[in-house]
Amino acid sequence: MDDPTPGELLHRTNDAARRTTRLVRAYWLPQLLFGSLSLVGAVVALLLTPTHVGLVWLVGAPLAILATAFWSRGRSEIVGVAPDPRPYVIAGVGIFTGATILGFLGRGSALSFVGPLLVVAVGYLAFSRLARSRLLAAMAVALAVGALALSVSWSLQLYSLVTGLLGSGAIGLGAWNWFETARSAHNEA
Amino acid sequence: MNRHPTTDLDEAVHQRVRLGVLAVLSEADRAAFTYLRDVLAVTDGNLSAHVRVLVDAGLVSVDKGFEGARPKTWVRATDAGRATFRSEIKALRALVDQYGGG
Repeated sequence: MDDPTPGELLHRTNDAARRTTRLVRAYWLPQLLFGSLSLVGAVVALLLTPTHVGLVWLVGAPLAILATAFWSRGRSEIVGVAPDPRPYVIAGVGIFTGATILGFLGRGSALSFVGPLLVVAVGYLAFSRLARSRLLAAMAVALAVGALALSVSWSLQLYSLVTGLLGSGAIGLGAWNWFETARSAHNEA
Repeated sequence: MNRHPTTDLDEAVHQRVRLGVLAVLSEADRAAFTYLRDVLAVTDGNLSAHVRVLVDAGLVSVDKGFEGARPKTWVRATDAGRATFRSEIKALRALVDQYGGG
């Protein structure tokens, strides 16, 4: 028992690392928050003006980022294992800054909507690498395709449809990750 | 001449619990002592002894703090710890490749 073979040692080591990975890479809350924000933006785009959509994101995104930071910190204390926050902070600040700059630069044109969507797509790609999640990578591709479709044929109605679909996808992804995380915790209890 | 894979094994790390501690910390920035104890299925005393070996070898550091009124100990891998873990896993894989899983 105290002298396992290299194969057994590798197997046990991988098992401990995998259990930790599942806990550390949970991302359900940010997905639910940003998915909901996206849905609100989609409805506002239909009912109000592009300026109001910008306001939804300018106010909502920092609040969602703050909520995610508090959630991540609190969760680390509860489960007893914490990810390195630096790459997440860099990615979050980069996405918000990039999306805001493009939103302002493109005011009055499709760029103010397509640009931020592309920035978020790149951000999703970064998060998919950090969380080692193929589902997040698929979301990044969906966002890029949505941005491409909007750049080809721009209308506020199409923007509303695209962000509504993407928001629903993010909420679905968040719900799935929550289920998976809860199931892992239950199995290990 | 090729070096034998066992020459790359590190005495401080080549042990189930100590390798487990570094495996957990390879996936996280820090882990609570209680988390390590539970995930590695060891006693407090056993884990303490192994963590001490890793601290003495400069592979992990220990931060003692409080969660409310209760003391809480966090363990963090040093850069040397992460590098040693990667090299140990490489050596173990080489051994398994050469001699089978055992």
